[in-house]
Amino acid sequence: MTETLTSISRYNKDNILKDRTSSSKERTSGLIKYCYTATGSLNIDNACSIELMRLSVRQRLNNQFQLRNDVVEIDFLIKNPEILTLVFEIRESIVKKFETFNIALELHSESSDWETLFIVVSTNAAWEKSNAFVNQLFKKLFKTQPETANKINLIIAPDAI
Amino acid sequence: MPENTPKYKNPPLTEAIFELFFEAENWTPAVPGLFFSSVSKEYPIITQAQNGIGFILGPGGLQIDSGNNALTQYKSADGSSIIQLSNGLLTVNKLPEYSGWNSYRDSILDALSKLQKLVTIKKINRLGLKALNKIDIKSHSLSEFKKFYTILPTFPEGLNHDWSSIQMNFEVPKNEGNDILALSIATILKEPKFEAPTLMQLYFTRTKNADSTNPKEWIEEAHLNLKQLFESSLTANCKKNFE
Repeated sequence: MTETLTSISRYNKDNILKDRTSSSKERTSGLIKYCYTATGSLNIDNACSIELMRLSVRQRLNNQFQLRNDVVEIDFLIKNPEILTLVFEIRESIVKKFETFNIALELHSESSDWETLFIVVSTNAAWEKSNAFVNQLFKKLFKTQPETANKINLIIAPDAI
Repeated sequence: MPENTPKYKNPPLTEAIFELFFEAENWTPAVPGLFFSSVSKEYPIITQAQNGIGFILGPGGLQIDSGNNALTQYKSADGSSIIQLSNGLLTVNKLPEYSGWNSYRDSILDALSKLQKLVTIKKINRLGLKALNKIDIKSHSLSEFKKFYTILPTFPEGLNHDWSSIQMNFEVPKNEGNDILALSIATILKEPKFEAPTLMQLYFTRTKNADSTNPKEWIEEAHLNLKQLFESSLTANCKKNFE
């Protein structure tokens, strides 16, 4: 056997570069998205894989959020990447506001076209503080991202920890 | 499936993916709907991926990439069999329970045949067959890793630590460079039902001269390559868990 398994070859570096700059339909339609490792390997291509997309979101959430279900909340975030960004922004705001908390994500689905992600925050804060935080956040959110705001609900459970 | 390769009761396969990148002569916006009419019996759930998602591990860490705007997904009632279609891409994905190669191969060929009744594929740019396997090695350490995998990193004396995070990628050209056989093994974060998961990706892809390929023959060869790589990369101790 003359073939040898080698680590990343020049072939891949050249082709990844070509894919990044290519004007072909493959590239411009955004269907091929390479996940660059340190070596730029070809085989970490998550665009076509359901499981790899789920894994990417799961690893990104990185145990900072409790999930009611291992799949449905993740699939919702795959379909709505702007909400994935948003839950981290909300978490940042919560970190600044509350000393102790945990956050759970729960998807409530009336139909495939009508899904709402509930962000349930348990805190040790008093009701007044929690309520003011939610009102302020949604006021800002409806002003800046009304479509996104319609897909989420934020519930702060005061005195819950 | 070759006769001499074992079948496992509990294979670690978490997803099998066939992908076909093509250029169609007569694609119209009506094709995804017409395709649904032909597959709706097996795949009754249709969704349009409005904003798919991708991640790029760049210099700044993990970043969200823009999505697949025109990707239509067709799912079986239990969500375990999925076809994805857009102008330029057809994928056939199988999530557990995996009912064997013959069944999966037939679903690939069936999807391809139904697509070819709707559009004329004037060029195949690339073909791929991928198998994702998740294997629990009980503890993220090189010493445990060695009990499950036969492909191992080696370290010079003085660096023989019990390394906890491992990522390895290998690729080899096949068939005079027309194909690439790729293997990736990486430790991943703990997740439900897995104490110390590793993700083993096996990938066979035709990147050159794909246009002159007979997909039916090619996927058999691709499967054989993946199966052989799978069998050779795992220890007997590891494979006991699949029986």
